Amino acid sequence: MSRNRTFLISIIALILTVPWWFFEYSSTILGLPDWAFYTVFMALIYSVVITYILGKYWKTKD
Amino acid sequence: MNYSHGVNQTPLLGSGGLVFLGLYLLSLIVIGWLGRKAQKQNTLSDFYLAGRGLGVFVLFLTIYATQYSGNTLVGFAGRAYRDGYNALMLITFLSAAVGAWLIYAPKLFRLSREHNFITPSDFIEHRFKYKWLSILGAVLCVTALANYILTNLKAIGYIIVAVTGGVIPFAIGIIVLSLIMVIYESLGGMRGVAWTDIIQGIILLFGVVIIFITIQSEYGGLAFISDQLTKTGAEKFSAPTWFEKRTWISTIALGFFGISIYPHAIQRIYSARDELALKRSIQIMAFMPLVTVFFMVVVGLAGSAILPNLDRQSSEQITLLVLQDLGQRGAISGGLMVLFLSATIAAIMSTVDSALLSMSSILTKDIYSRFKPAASQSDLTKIGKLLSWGIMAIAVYLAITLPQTIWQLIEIKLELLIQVAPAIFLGLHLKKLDSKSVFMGMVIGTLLAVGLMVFNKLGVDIPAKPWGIHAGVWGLMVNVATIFIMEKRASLNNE
Repeated sequence: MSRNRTFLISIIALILTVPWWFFEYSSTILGLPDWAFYTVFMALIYSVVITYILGKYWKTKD
Repeated sequence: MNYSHGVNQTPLLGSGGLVFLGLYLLSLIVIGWLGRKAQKQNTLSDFYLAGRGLGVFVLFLTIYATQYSGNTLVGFAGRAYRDGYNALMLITFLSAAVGAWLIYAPKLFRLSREHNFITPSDFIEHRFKYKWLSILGAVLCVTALANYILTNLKAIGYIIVAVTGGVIPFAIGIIVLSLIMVIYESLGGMRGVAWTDIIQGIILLFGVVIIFITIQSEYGGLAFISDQLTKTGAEKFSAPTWFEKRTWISTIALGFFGISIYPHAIQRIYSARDELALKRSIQIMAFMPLVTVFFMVVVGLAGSAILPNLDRQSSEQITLLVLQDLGQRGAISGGLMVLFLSATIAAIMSTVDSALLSMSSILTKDIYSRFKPAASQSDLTKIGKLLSWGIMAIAVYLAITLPQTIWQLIEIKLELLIQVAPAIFLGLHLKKLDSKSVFMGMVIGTLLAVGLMVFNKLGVDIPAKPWGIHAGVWGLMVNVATIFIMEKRASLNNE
């Protein structure tokens, strides 16, 4: 995968952490409003994406 | 933040706790002295970047302790108290800073090794070879760092008042802790600061995790919080409006382009022993917002569930109020109280010492050495240490005496720093980029951001966040637009 594509994926993952598609609270998931749960879950996904891209595409000389 | 109100005036720590805190503070000076003993050369690189030799363990903990300040432990919980679940945006605010490193840290690290960079402006100078751009970048960095140091010093004064029940007054608290910081910083430089960050980072992490676990076990965790809030604060469940979503993405932009390029953060990239150490540290850092920020947001939400209807000033103390409540219930022992308060003080100190070190390096390397190009490395190091003492003395004086009206302007930090981001992000990845266009972008972006904020603070009818977007982010957009317009014009002229 090209460098620009990895940058793009990480930025899309970051933008998706905002609960864009939620406009009202409808239910609770694990003690959090559904949109808040979405945010925390997407923040976790973003962390995983960063870690994965760094691990796979940062070729260190060491 | 004013910790003298709301929290009981009885000391938060008993005599045993104060002894522990005193020993902890003394240990920092000992570590600074050990850092001095470990010094290999009397050079700027050795003093300000620990000889570029930090391994994964130290590097991760120094980045962690530096990035998470007292504001994370106290201010974030207060924000969650007031804004409810919307405060979860703070997780991605700090995650974004780590994500930004993915974009530029690998390349910047390699360049820093090839060209012996000490400060962020060293890269700007190397890339653009334009003196005024480097100086403007250095001035913006120094201003942001100075404001950062001042706000954290003020917070430390309030914490000391709360911890000792006012036995140690605000001003004395600031003076004593600042003295300790400047002693171990000027003794051990980055090595001393990074080693003290090991202790500070571990205390910080333990403190946050333990208070989160205690809230889960004592109150019943997130389910209890949501049950209580449906009765007392249903508005805290509301999904963000479009306006709030724009503020959310704008906040993320501040973290991405601002927090990530704090000079002390960039200098930790330079300080890594090798690429692998840097890569592993960033990989671990990617998860720290979930462990730290999320936990502190839960503390704030728990506070709003058990202590509803506090005013803004009292809500700023919600972390301490929750701790007091847990202490009264017998859920936490005196030892845990000591641990958390030590974590708060540690978080502030580790941030201030790093910012101080960074500011001294910028003034020495980017400003002083321009006027004294023949100065030797050992002379520059000596000047740097003297500057640290001078900066700290001025900062302490201002933190104690500045009137409240001026403090509103001190809040301008990231809004300024973010204007340096195009020089770094675009400078690293775009081959054809003219120094004049980057300079003009930085000037116009800064003027717009500062203008919007200052007019707002002066009471002119201009919102601080027009259309929900921070003034600094508007400045950044105009900054980048200026660069591209000037680049386009230049390429059309060449054709």
